[in-house]
Amino acid sequence: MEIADIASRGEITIVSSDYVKFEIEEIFDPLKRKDIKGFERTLSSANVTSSRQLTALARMFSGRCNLNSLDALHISAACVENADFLLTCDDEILHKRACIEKLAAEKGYRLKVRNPINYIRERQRRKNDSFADSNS
Amino acid sequence: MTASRIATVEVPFEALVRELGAKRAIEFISEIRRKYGDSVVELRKATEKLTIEQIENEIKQLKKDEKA
Repeated sequence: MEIADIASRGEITIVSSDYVKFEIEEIFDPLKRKDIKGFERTLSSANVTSSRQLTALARMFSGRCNLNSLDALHISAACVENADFLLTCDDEILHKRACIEKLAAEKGYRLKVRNPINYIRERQRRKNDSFADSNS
Repeated sequence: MTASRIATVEVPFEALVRELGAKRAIEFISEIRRKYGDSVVELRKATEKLTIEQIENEIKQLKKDEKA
């Protein structure tokens, strides 16, 4: 919710993709699917579509970090769009964070993987640090 | 005895955001739909066996269906 608030203030940009839309279509409960579609349409301001570069990168992530195909495509989409962070509550991805960030850096991308709660904490810490620096 | 009737009103999420702001709209939806369960588990089960090619083909099909 905090992230939705930050995005609606224009402080961050939320990137969606064809893979996010595909995953939303897989949600079984129609009401839940409708809500999530609404979140995605309202909060995201960029969309990544498929490309050869993206699928080639996804194959690398899948092979090196033992990710399933859809997770590898989500991560590659974030890289290709030059996103700073991929936020997820999925432990399968979070456990492979070190491998994902290492491969992303090797390929020239700056992507970091975070749990949304940790992302908010880090963001707050950075804000506090820069405030302290500017006052010293 | 007559059965209870419950009227439902469908409100697009965008309309809620306009009225309440994004943060409160998400809180509101979360409050009234706690029955949803764990999305991560549900989605992982639905998609974990798919290959990159299958996902790409399904996305192409979804886009075709949207246009039709």
